[in-house]
Amino acid sequence: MIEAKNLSKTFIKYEKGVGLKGMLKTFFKAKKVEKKAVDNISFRIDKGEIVGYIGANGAGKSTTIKMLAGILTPSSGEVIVDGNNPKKDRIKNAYNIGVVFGQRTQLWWDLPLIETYGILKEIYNVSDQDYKERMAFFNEVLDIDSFIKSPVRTLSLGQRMRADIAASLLHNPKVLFLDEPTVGLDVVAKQKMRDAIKLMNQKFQTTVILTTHDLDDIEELCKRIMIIDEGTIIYDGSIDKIKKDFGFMRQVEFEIKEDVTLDFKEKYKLSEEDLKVSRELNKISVQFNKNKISVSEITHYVMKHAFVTDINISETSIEDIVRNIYEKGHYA
Amino acid sequence: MHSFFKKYLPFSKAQMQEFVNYRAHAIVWVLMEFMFLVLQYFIWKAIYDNSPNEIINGYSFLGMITYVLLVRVVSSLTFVMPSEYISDDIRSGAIAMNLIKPINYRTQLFFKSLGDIVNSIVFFVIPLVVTLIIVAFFVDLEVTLTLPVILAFICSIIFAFTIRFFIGYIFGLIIFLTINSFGIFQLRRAIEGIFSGVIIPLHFFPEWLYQIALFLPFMQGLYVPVRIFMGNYETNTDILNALLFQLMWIGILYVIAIFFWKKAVHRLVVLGG
Repeated sequence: MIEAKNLSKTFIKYEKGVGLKGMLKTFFKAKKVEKKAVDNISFRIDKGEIVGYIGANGAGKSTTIKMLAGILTPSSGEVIVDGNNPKKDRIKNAYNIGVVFGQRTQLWWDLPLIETYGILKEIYNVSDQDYKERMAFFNEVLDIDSFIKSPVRTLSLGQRMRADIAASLLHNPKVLFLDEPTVGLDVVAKQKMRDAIKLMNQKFQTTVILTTHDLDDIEELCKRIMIIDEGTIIYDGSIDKIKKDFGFMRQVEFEIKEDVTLDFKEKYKLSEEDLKVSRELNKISVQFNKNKISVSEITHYVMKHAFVTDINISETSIEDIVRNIYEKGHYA
Repeated sequence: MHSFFKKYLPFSKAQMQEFVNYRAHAIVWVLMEFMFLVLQYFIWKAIYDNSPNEIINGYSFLGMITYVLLVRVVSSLTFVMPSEYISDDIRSGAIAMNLIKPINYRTQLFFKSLGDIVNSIVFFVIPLVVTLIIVAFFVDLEVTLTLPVILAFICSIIFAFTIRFFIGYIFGLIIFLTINSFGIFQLRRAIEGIFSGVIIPLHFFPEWLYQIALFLPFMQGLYVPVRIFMGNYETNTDILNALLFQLMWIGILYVIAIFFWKKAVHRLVVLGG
């Protein structure tokens, strides 16, 4: 369905000088800086797959998506989406894809929401029958009827995102690109988004590429993930594997009142990979493998020896995993 | 053909609907246009009162007022903002949302501009034409209308609209390449102000400047239809030639537009990630 071969995108930027003097200098002689946003990546995605595409901010996720959607021209390499070259056959490709950019909207800002769907119906030439059916479906999953008559600019973020995903699905695209669709949403709205994506995928075999910073999105929707860092794909494989390898790490942060010496190494006799402790004045941060020790053991141990004023327990975020992988320079 | 209009007319319609949402904006705009007219009336009155001749460069005072009114009508009938739309789309990143739709960006902007024209007609041109007719009852405006002139005027307005659309569109595409729109807008405003005839009739120019204006497209979008309406072209052949010249400019601008689009879209950098 989607194939990328040796895809690269280089942006040319002009370095701007700082201050008035720098500005004047820039005005006459700007320094050209090349930035490789995407660096020689290749992948294949089959019909009906939901792939999580993750990486830190600026890693190259959005650039990749934009090349797949026909917005950006690759500097080199090739992309094929359902047999089309997205840039050359932009219009043909556009009928096949739906796109949601979490930070932008494709809705008509000043018009009642329903007008947007009317316009999209004409643009994509959706039949009356299909239109009715799909709108009913969206209402069922995303509950959009409750605000469909309001102007888009008056919608809350959660409503707008629900409306946006419905808009991207109205023409029943074969491929759906979701670029941080759940960013800034509350739990309920997130769940609705995920349900819609899941149902659409089951019903129509829609291929989905999803970029997100939310590990829960990925866990609930994707079987496969690709991790990109500094423009290169550093992991492409099943989520089960990466979870098995990294998802078991937990982090506990303690704030303690007086300084005490705690020797975790001595007590638990675990390797550096399973237990990592960092200290910073009155803060102790412990990263550990939850399969080897439990949270209660760790907290019990610390609380017995020190006066703890605050505890913060967190899961290893996807970013930590990415950083972890990147620091090693390779996967596993 | 039918599906083509079905696909793009919603853009015109949306533009009209959005405009209605900003009633205050519409009222301020109409007021501004009328104030500008009043201002021009007094400027020309001062000039003619202090001139030893009753006719300056072929224009009597009433002729000049007719010119000024017609310029307002024609420029409102051809007022388009594709470069502003392009600039907004680039700044906000909405350009990306436009490119993921199975629509031609230029055609979309064209239909959006058509919607704007309908807005101008409803909010400005109709009141202005009514004013014009009332004024014509009391003073003898220097226009003699015949059927060929009216038909030619309508054609010329449509061409002028298309020409101004392409000019705006090309300037907009230049913003793609430079990102900074302010300078480009200033430049366009200055050039259009001088060479379109919006400030003074081009026949007031010294010969060399007039010759330059003849070789630029700007007067085709304003001066030509105004002069057709005022009956400045003596024979029907002259009118026909003027119309053909406009058509030729549409062709030239179209080719330039295609060229710039190819350049622009390759250079496209979507701002804001």
